[in-house]
Amino acid sequence: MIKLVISALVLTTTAVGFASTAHADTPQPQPGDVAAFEGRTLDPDDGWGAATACHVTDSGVSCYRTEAAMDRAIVHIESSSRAVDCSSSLRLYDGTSQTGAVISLSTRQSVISLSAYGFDDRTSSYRVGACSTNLYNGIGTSKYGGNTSAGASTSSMASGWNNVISSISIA
Amino acid sequence: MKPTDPVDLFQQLEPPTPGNAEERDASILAAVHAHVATKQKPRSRNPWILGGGAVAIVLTTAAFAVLRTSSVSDPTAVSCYATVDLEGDLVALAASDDPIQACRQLWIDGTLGNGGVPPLAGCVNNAGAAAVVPGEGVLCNRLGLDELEAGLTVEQQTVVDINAVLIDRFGTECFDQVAAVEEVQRQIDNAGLDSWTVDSPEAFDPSTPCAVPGIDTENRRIFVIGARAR
Repeated sequence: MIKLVISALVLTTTAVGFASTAHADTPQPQPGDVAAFEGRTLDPDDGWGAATACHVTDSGVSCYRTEAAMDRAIVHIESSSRAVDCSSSLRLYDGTSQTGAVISLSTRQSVISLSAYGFDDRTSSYRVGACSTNLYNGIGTSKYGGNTSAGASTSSMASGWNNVISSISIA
Repeated sequence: MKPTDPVDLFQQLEPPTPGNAEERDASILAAVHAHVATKQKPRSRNPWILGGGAVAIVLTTAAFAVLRTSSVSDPTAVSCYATVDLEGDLVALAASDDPIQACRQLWIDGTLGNGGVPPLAGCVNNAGAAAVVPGEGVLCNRLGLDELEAGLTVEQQTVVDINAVLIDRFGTECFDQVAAVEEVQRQIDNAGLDSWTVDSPEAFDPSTPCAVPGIDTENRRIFVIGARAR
């Protein structure tokens, strides 16, 4: 038996299989829809495999091994939609004058290590999004002194700061 | 009744006497030679068994080479790449139970690409975090990365959860340095992360008196810095 949670702004319900009785305005799984499960794609017509719970949203169906895992994912989705992300992202560029590879970051209120994203010691220019930002040489230490307020950008880093940024935080 | 006197037990072993020692040694030597000869006798094997074993070894080796997988060691970061180039553009996401689905969402909403969702491959990058690239099959291994194994350990999931809690707590309330360390320690205790520690490496700047947390999974450490205005 599989549990199905259908999310809309005002409705969350649990049903069995795709035989949902949710309101017509809420997203509805359709015959032929596929569901994402642990990086793979499930076709409900072929069975659910190890999935026991699914979350249906406007963007698709995501299934989970346990109902608890689904609950955690929903918490993350809901918290993400609150204020965890800045409305426009910080962009760090590998080259000067906003050229070369770019990493886009928007998670707020957390020190983010760039090494986890393969972008440690690569920043040569940046563009700050809608939220003021701090750039660091270390992991939350040795703060960059240039202008990193909301909307700021630079075509090159201050002297001695090229290719040394290792972490950031977005306020 | 069994004898327990050590002398009686020793006599039952019939130890060699000066008169029969050579004879017994020769007898033992002959027995050893006979045993070795038996062991060295070639035994015929079913060629099908030999062939099957060889095929199994080859297939196992090939499967290992093609499907080199691992799980993340850093569950707090997900890289969503725009192309197969690991030096190319990417969007950085925070922790996700399902990194591929999280990145797929960026393709759906147009943050990545120009419409359409390509097949996505989940890999583990050199920092031990999830990296999702457009492609499929053995792409990760071709890029020199392991294929991403689904799921997190209990501790990793707890770290993901505490990260979300801390971002929420510190984003809605201003904690000074002392209060921030206490709050993180309280969350660590609540989560049962016994081997984890909290620290605050530098004094807070007066212009940014409110704490922001960071997670150092490699050293099982949560730190707080002053990075936000009141």
